[in-house]
Amino acid sequence: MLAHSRIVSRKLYNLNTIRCFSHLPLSVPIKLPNGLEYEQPTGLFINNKFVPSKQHKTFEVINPSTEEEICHVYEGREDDVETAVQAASNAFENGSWATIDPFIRGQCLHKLADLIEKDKEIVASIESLDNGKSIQNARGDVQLVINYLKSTAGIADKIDGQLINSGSNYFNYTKREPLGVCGQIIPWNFPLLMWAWKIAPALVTGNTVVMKTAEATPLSALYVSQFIPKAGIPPGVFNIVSGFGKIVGEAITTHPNIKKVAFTGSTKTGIHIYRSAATTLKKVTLELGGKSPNIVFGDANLKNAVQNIMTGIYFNSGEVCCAGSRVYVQDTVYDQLIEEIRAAAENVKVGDPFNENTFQGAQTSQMQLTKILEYVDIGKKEGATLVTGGERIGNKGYFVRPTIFSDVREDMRIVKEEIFGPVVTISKFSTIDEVVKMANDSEYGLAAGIHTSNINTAVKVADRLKAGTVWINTYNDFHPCVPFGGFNASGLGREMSMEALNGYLQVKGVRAKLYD
Amino acid sequence: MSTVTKVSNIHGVSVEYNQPLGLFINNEFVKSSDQEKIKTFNPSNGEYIVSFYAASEKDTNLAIDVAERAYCSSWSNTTPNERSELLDKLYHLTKKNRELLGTIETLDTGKPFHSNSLNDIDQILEVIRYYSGSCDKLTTGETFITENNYHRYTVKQPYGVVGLIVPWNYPLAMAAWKLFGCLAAGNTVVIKPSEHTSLSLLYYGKLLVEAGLPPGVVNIIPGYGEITGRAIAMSDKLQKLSFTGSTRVGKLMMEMSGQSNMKDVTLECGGKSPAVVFRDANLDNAASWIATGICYNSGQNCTATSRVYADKNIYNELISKIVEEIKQNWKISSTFDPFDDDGTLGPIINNTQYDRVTDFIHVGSHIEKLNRIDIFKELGECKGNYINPVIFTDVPQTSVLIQNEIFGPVLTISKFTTYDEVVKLVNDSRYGLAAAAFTEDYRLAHQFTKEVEAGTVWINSSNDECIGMPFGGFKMSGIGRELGATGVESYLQTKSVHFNLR
Repeated sequence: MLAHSRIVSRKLYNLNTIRCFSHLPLSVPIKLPNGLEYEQPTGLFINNKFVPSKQHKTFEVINPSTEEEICHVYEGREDDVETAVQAASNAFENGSWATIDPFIRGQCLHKLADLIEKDKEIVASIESLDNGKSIQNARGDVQLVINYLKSTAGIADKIDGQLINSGSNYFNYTKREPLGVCGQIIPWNFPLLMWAWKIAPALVTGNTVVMKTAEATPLSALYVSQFIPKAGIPPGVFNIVSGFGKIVGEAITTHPNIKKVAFTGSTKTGIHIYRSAATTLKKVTLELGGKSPNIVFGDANLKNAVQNIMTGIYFNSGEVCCAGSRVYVQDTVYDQLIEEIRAAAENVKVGDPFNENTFQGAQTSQMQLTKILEYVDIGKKEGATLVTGGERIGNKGYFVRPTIFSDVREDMRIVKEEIFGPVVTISKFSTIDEVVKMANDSEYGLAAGIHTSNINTAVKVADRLKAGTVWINTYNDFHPCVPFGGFNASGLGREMSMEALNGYLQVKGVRAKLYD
Repeated sequence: MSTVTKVSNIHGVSVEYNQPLGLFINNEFVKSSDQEKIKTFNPSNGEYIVSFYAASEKDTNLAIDVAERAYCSSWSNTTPNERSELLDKLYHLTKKNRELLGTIETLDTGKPFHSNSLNDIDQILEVIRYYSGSCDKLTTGETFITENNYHRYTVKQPYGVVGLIVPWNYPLAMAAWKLFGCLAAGNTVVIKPSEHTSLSLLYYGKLLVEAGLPPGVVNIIPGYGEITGRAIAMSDKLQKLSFTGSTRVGKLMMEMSGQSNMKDVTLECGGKSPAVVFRDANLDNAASWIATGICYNSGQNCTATSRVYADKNIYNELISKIVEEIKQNWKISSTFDPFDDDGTLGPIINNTQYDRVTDFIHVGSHIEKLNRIDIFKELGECKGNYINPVIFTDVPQTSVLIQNEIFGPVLTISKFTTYDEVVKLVNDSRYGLAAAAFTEDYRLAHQFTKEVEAGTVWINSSNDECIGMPFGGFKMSGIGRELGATGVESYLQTKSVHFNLR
């Protein structure tokens, strides 16, 4: 049975409109399907305070597993972005954040992680409620958030430059310095994890931030923002303006006082942001789409390979930028594997996110559900074989059956285009050269998986794949110190590891002449 | 294997706690194999505190075996992030026990509680945090792009069991400088505190257990240098030893490594660190740092600013400023109680060191007949090993007081005329741990920094520690570095790997 949430002040607005004028309270009580209750902040988060948007507009937040409204939150517009940028600018130029001992910034991030950890069950529940992912998945996300914040905190006091020896007459050194106010636009598939991947490298290096959360999933970031002042982070250093891409996103991308834009989302929007940011020469990092190949060689441990294929495509309901959405199986084991993959897919437990046994929850929005089902139709029309799945489950909540297409051609749309759902294509190959060619035949290059027991295959195929992350004998397997990001149309720049920090730092070279 | 120990100060404030007395092996406190014990005394009043067990050669070898088993069976299988979490737990436990640890340290060393011991604990907290953040970051190797058919990379691996020997001047802090980086790197440890100051590290064993450190990962074995220290240095099962102490004993450590299994040795030894005050220096600033440099911890500091060279034009002015600084900020507590907050100078650690320092003062006064400034009036009868700061001026470079490390609150001040002259004087020492220079001139600061033979150089400060930077000596002040990234690197070995692919 799918639970629903209780809403206060229903009579204040008409539920059929998405956006309203409102005297919405700055926090509303929410009862979670698992019985826990909490106060959900609804305001924008500026200067360490929750505030209504200037125009008092709000928008609704929907629970994708029930299609019911959870609550409203305030919607920011250009004037709110302006206020937030002023706060962030002031904090950067006049505040202490950019110039204090980096160790202290690390301590703040560490404290932030501790505070989230204390509240982790509530935080995970909010994530499941808002995004539709299973509670076990959400708990995993929250743990990754805590780990990532702590890991980045530990780099704070270890950022160095160099001393370059060019002889006694000169003293040369480099320093890495923060950029200033950074605009960050995050997606709806991993709301809090994307919040963490963005906020941590920006803050630990001394920058200040104005962030736009996804309009489909604003709740968890607002909730944890109450920990920002408690973690010792000064006002103005981190700000959230919830809202819509065309308004808030655009305002951020074009604001002259924002020095950098970091965006995670679709390739199409990424291109638009890159163009917009160019007029004010902002530094840009982009984490975009993918159509990542997951390759199984005949000598692989097949049981593990099947497990990794499942994780690769059905984890987070397939709404993962690096999902292993094109599987290539070597002909010597194809017949055996296709059966095992089908059986495993049919065994995936889909349903109520708050059920402890659920692996795959709801897709995050109506729009996404529609898009996925459209691709299923396209696949059928293109002549692919629907092995299993291919349909919605029930008529309440955006649930889709784990879907497999086989007998595909490499030029089919379902093989080329990112679907962003629990839909995988399976192709056959014979040789390394053949599969490398097929795998690389994509505009994308985010990730790839290789399953093999052979030393030469493992190393050489990893070398040849055009992907920012290559997994060997695993998939969707992250560590805070291993960089993540795309080749080609999958993006610019990297997240996690020191590479992420480099995206928020600029190098200053100093060359001093000592003697004439 | 512990005793209830009561610590009280003249204000009537007292603390009672359970002081472990046994050797800490395999997460348990045990008696030494031959029942030998060492007595420890409170240097501020000469009183006997308690006796703890002393590790024999047999105990030492047992501890090493235990550490080896712990490495193979559990510790080498931990991930860096698991070690990081454990260090984080230790951070919180250390913070929770801050006052108690500071109290034990003051009891055992006489360091002033408010202005010294608590600083040590606060630095230890920084060190733990630094190394907890380093486990997965400072243990990275590299990949190399070479010919196409090769997969080449370096990997950093721990030694296994590492021996650590730490001194009495900052008992818990010196242990922290080595221990946490060593654990972060993935090693297991056998650590010997000084026989004069073992209480705080023994107590810390309790926190290690509470944090969930697996048994055998850290083993604490107090003992005499000639027995326990020797057993560690001669062990064929340790591939690495890190020692902080005198240069004399550091040399012995190297010899013993050569006599046994050629274990890698990191040494942090003595110093005779100079401060040079140029004529354009801000003299108030210089005087303040120099005073701290010689008085902090009563000069019992490897980087103590123990010899000053001042430009002749500002010589007299500097001397009066230093005297004034010491008079204002450095004094022995009127009650001789280091728990009293009216004192910033503690006693000398024991009779041997006390005699050593007073002998140097005697040589300076009565044999070399140097100009002497006593800032405070003579100390009356007191039970503790207290020595008031003494300054000798116009000290020639050949003086015994300049050529030797005194390790007490005794400062020499000498005059110089030219830059070339003072650089020679500064480098005329077999030590090379640290050096300070006071000047406002950019070029001069860089030139001095380049030419001075010292592992740490301070410009316009002295003894201004930063635990994120490498620390160690040139020349006979030591070999290798610790703190910062080097605090993990020095506990790792590099393995170069080549895969030849078809």
